[in-house]
Amino acid sequence: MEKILNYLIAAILAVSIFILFYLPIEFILTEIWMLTPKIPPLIATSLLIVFIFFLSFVEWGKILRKKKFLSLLLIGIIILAGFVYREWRDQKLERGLLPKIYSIFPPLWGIQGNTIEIKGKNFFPDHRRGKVMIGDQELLIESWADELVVGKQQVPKEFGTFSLRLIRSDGVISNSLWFEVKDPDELLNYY
Amino acid sequence: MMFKRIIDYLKRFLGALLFVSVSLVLADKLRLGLDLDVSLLARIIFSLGLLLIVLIVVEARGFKEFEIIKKDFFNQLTVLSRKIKQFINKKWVAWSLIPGFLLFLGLGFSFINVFNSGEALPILFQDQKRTSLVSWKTNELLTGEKIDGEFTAYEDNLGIISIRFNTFGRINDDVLIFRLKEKGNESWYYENEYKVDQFQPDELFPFGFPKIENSNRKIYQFEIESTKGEPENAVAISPQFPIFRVKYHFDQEQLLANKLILVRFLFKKFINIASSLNFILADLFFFVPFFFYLFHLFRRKPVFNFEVAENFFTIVLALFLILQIGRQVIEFSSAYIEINIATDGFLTLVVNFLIFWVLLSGSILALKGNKA
Repeated sequence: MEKILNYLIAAILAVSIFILFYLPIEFILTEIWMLTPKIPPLIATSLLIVFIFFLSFVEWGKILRKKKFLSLLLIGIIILAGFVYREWRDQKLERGLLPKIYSIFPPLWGIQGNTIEIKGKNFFPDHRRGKVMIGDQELLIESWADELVVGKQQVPKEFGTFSLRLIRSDGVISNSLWFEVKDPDELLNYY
Repeated sequence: MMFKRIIDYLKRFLGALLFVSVSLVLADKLRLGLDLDVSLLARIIFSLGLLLIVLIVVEARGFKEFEIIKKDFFNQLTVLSRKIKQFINKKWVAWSLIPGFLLFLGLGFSFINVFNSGEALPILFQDQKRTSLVSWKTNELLTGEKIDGEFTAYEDNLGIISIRFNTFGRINDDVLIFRLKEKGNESWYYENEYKVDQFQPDELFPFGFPKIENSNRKIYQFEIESTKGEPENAVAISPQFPIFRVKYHFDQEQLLANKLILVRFLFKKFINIASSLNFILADLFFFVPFFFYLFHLFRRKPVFNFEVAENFFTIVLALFLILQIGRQVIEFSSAYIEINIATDGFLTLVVNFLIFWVLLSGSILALKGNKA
């Protein structure tokens, strides 16, 4: 029974610490900073295995019998992990349907007539096209799909750095990325 | 000594890993996943298990270690089973807790089965037979040809008419016009065009329209007209039951706001789905453990012994096999003889339920046999 208790506590602690440590990081990377749509499950699983590996060496049964107050700490960690998981799940569900831009190509700047590719998700299919705004000027859409929008830059009213954002057909606005609209004359000085 | 320590560490790691994997699989079933690669865990467990066996053998203790583990395991099992027996032989446990639990289990699974197999929660539906179609044909619907249907709404909030189409296993280019009106009205209440390339073979396709809030007891007529259908490039009405399904959509907020309306709606919903004989028959399987337990309890013989477990295993295994044969017959009938059995979806949960009991009782028998 002692051994089984050890395994069980190690398993519960590993999952709890994984939830407390990994889920907030995953949330920041995928939902706040939007660096990537998803962290590969292989990475997350490997991290969990590392936690299990280290925690399984400890004789939890013995330790908890000697220092009973640690049981309370263990319960506290489990409860906290439960709350973090619930919050993570709720937020994920809530944000799962919002339009998100992960990257644009070219990534930093462009000139009139340039083709811009916007990669992300939840843009809606072609028959429910929205619009892409660079500042207050609309991009001329060439093709529209749920995860990729391709458009051409119009002749701008003014040059400068503007926020690029996608407005879905239902009016929901995506995250924005900074994009510089350059004066083509500027480029002449490059060569 | 070194080997022993490594083996010990490996056992601990493997034990904890097993607990985590089982919990993750269960959580995944409850849709509480963490988006992890469970197959990687399984592969690691398998590899570590193999490594552990190799190490034990290398340590030259051979199968003695397994004998010790086995003995230790069965000793623990004996202690555990003695405690369990003491508990379940208490009168209140045997006569109220266990039968109550089994009854609750049966009822719970029946509800899950009924609500899982039907439409979304705020929807009531009404299945229609072939006779509800005023003019129809099961051949390809060619340009200008129409199918007319008529039905009496039995609820308010009429919002969808789903019609089953036969696509002949291909993607067709036709465009159908769907029209709906109340009987006696001259103009159509709703009309829209639909490309048939989105139709799934022998599946109900939903034609939605603005909800009619006071539809109860009124007669409605609908019409489907082909605009581009040509031979080898058109759909047809599928003869499978239900030919079409009428749906009434209730506002979730409205239902949740008034408990009385909600209870009445849930009751209607339950009756709506459970009125099907298939579901009643399927749900009977969930009460097999309950009835089996009662049968043995009233015989006033010990309920928890090897013989009873053996009988239970035989019964659930036989039921499981009968069900499997039944499912095959349904599939065969639908595919080759064209007997119209709409779906065997209501049996999926039953099959899983029986597998669980077969595995549980089978494991008990196997352990008992091994111990002997």
